[in-house]
Amino acid sequence: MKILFINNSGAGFADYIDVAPGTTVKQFFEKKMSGEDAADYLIRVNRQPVASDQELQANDRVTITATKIAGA
Amino acid sequence: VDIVFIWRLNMNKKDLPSRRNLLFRAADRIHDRLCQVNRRSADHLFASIERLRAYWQVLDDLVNRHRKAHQNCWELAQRQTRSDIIEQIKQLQELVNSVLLSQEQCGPAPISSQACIAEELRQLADEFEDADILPKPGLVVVKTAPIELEGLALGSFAIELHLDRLTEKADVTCFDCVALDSNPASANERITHPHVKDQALCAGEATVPIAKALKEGRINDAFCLVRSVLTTYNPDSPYMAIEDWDGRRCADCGDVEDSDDLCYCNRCENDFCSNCISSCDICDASFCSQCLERDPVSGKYCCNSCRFECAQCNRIVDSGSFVEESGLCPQCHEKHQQPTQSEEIDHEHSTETTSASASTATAAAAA
Repeated sequence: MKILFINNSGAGFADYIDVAPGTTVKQFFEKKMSGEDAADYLIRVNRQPVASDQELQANDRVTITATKIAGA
Repeated sequence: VDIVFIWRLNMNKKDLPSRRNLLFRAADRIHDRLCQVNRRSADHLFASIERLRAYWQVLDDLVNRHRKAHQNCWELAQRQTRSDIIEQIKQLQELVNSVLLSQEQCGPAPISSQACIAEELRQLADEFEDADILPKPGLVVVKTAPIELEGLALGSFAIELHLDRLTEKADVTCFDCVALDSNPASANERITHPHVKDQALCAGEATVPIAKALKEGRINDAFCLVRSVLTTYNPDSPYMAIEDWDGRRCADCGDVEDSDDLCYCNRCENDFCSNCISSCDICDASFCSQCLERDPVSGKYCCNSCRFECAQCNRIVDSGSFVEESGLCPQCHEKHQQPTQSEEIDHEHSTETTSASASTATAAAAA
């Protein structure tokens, strides 16, 4: 199934991607942001805060934004 | 700075129609600005394509000339046109690369619809303590929670998105970060946050994602990214380091000064105020008075690299006066030279006497 994934890290990424049905938010985060701590990120699904075990649905809009970014 | 919160996004239900109206008007305005940015980007692309055409025309002419030279077996002309063709291709390649790069960096982005932008604006009320739209100055404003970085309380900030600036450039310069309970650096009141000066955020690693989010109309994401920078301290490149927030002291007199006004001593590596810093009279580099020594004869203040000590009288000598061959000051060198000179005079005198006696003897023999 397709979801809209918006990753605000690095150069920024916003596109539709395929995920397996039944993928939870936690699993999705671990796959896309491997090695990162979920506590350091603002994760929103359809603009709402969600539980880590929530399953993603087709056409969901997932946004991941770092809460700590080094300024200059 | 007092911000009059005219329109609150989290108003009561009875205000819902006006709130929705406001949201859509603001969303429409943002959408319009972003479309202008995209149009300008397209104009820039067309202008670049015209330049490419002109380059190609020159290349085409060169190829024709080369062909003519080849048909007539003009060796010299063939060599010359071939070299010009290669040069033209290189310039064409550079232009193509620069067009592609500029389109990659500033090219048109897929802009969210007005409805999506309105959703983004609505989401601000969920993500921030206060979120407001000020239609008259064209501002979207949010208020952060009080910010504390490594024990330094900086208070809340109003993050302002200036809609008019979006037309010029959709990037972090569209935002102002206004300290609401200002605790500026004591040495410079314009610095209200280690990464904010004159209300402008130096976004560092967030610069690119903020620009991308704005261009695509993801307003809430852009605001969240600005907040992420405000709530993070990067000790590598702040306008003012947290440890110097209360100012930096001159290592000599102890006065607190703005870091930019302090000067660095190249020897002891401390910072000094303008009254306490000095410079070497020989090399002009800056040093503190403790690290300079005065040549009592020339009166020049010299750093450790520009001064010597006379091996005879132990006087400090500036490098301009020091006689390196003897390792002495000019005075000791002169004294040292005197006996040698008198010996030379004696030697010359004795030589003259011997030759005079020899001539007398020769003359006598001839007689």
